Amino acid sequence: MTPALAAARRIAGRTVRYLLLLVVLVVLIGPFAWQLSTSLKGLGESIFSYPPDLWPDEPTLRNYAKAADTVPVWRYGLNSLVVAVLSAVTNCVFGAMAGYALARMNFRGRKLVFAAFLGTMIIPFEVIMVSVFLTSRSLGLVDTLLGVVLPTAVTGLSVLLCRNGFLNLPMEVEEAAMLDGAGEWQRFWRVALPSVRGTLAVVAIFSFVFAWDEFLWPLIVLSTPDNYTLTVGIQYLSGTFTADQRVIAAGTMIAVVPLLALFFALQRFFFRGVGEGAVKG
Amino acid sequence: MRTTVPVRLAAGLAGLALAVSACGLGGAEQQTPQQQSTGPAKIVFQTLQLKPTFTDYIEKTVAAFESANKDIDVEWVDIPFQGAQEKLVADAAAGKLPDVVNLNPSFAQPLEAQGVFVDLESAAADAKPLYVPGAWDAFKVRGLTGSFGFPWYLTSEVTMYNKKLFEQAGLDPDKPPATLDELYATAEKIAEKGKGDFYGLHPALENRFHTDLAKLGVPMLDESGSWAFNTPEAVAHVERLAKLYQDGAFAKDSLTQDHAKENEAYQAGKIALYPSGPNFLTIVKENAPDIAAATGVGPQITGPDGVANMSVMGLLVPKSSPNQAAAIKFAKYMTDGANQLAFAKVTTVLPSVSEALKDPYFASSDGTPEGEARKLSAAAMQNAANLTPVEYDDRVKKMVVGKVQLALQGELSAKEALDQAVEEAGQITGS
Repeated sequence: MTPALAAARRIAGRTVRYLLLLVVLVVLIGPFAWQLSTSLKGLGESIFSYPPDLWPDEPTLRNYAKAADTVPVWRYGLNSLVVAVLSAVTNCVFGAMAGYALARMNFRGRKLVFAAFLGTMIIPFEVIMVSVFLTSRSLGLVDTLLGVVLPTAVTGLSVLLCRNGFLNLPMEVEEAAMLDGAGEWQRFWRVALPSVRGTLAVVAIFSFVFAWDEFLWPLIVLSTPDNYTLTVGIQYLSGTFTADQRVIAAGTMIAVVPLLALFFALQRFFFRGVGEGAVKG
Repeated sequence: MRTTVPVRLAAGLAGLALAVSACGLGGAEQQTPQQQSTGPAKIVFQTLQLKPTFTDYIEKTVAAFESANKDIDVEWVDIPFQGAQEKLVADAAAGKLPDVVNLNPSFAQPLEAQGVFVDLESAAADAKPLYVPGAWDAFKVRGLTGSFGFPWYLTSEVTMYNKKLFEQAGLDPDKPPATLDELYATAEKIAEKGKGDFYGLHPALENRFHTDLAKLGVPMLDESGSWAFNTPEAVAHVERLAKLYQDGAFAKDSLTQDHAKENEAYQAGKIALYPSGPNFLTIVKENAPDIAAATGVGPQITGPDGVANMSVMGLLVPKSSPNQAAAIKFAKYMTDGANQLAFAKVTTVLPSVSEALKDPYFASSDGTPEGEARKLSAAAMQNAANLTPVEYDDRVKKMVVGKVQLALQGELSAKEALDQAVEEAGQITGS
């Protein structure tokens, strides 16, 4: 094969690869871009035109103003933030504790406990909804943000992720710590936990996103509109007899932007290997 | 996610049945404080997604009621439509339902059947003759005596159509179809001219299949409450739909799409005919100004006997309310002729009170599509009924629509599809 031909093939291969990447990009970004452009469109523009017109001809922030005017976006956003941050913290703390116990400690019924945690992951929420609601009521948590957090304060998924994170750590490190006289708590807190930061970031992001997106449970447990979270609150943007897609899209953007910010802030942890920092070389 | 929600909801309802029957958590606790306080009786009034568009109307009406009844204090809460049924189930289990609840017949039915609501034929017997009979009957439950809701606002369909596309297809833009036969003939002609750029109609099976059958004189259930929509007339109807689909009168991808997609297709100028609620006129105007300018309005599509379909909203009072009398009084006030008429003037709804429907406001059209829609739909109301039986819930609907889709694709014959649908519907609802 001549060098020229090889170069041509390399370029062709690269072109195909980039084209494929572009297709995936369009598929992934397309709907988001549509929402974004809709939220910026002026009143005179058609939304559902075909083919879709992504460039707003009369760009305006009116829709954001109207969304913020119709529903107390800041208040709902703050409620959502409280719920999501609380949920991320509790999932990391308790998920790590439970995960560590399941990964490192030997006790009777360990497998059974683990199976029970996994089991909670497959039970659909609607099935236990009524009993969870009755429990929250008995605890006096109805219509409070704490009541929103409680059912997902530690999820089976968080425990599972943490357990797997701890299992991937080399046993030798902890054995060394044990020889140095570290107790169980110190091994957990000083040795194991700092080594699974990547996993914790994943748990934090997942629980934050789940809590932020949760719709049904907050709607059920909250009764005063002032306490609504953002996902419930922005429902008010689409009335029964009207639906201005532009304002709904603006509300959606307001709800999504914090998630994007969080993800980009934490993404370097997100993709970091789990077995980092311990036994190198 | 979508597919399993009805099933899960059923499980939730089963849980509710247990909670209500076994421990009676709610009922027992709530009855004690009755008539103890000497201050005004406080009632909670919960509506379905009326905020913020109708905040002014509701607040004004509530205030007028309160000033006429100093001893009753009304607190208005509004919840989103989505998830409302789940919230109700949970609230009912905990015995903390609001005193006056705004529901449609299908949301209300499972709770009505469990005896959660006050029977208004005995508690408010004088109210019944005021309302359009079809609306009052919408809150009855097969096998139970009485009716459980004050009919509130009504909505009904009109036929919106794109005059520009009518002209392009060589049709008279001032002559919309009025019967099912005309609708399909028109749709065929338009699709022929559209050559894939635009079509006449969207099948929107989940939205219209059952009402179209009822208009053709085929009720979903027979007198005894068993599913019976596999009659020869129904078979002919499905065969007609299948022919339309196979001849290309419907877009290929429209088969599995729902009403929301139909709405988008109309706003994109991809379909010429759009039978839907007049409230969609506003939505089209907001989202697709150019299509709205070309939109004309025709009467609701009917069958040979001219019966029209309507959707009913109602106000229900749960038995667990500690201030039942006040709640009934308020519900009656909200749904009376004057207040419903005022509501109808704010938006594209119709009053369910016979007297209010005769108001001159509905007799003439100001020439706008909205005015035309109001006139046409009000005229249809006297001969209208709620054609969606409450037994036809999401689970049944999903299955029936699935079978009809197979028939349209030619995988099943129309007869096979309907026979199978009737049998499986019986298994789902146990009737």
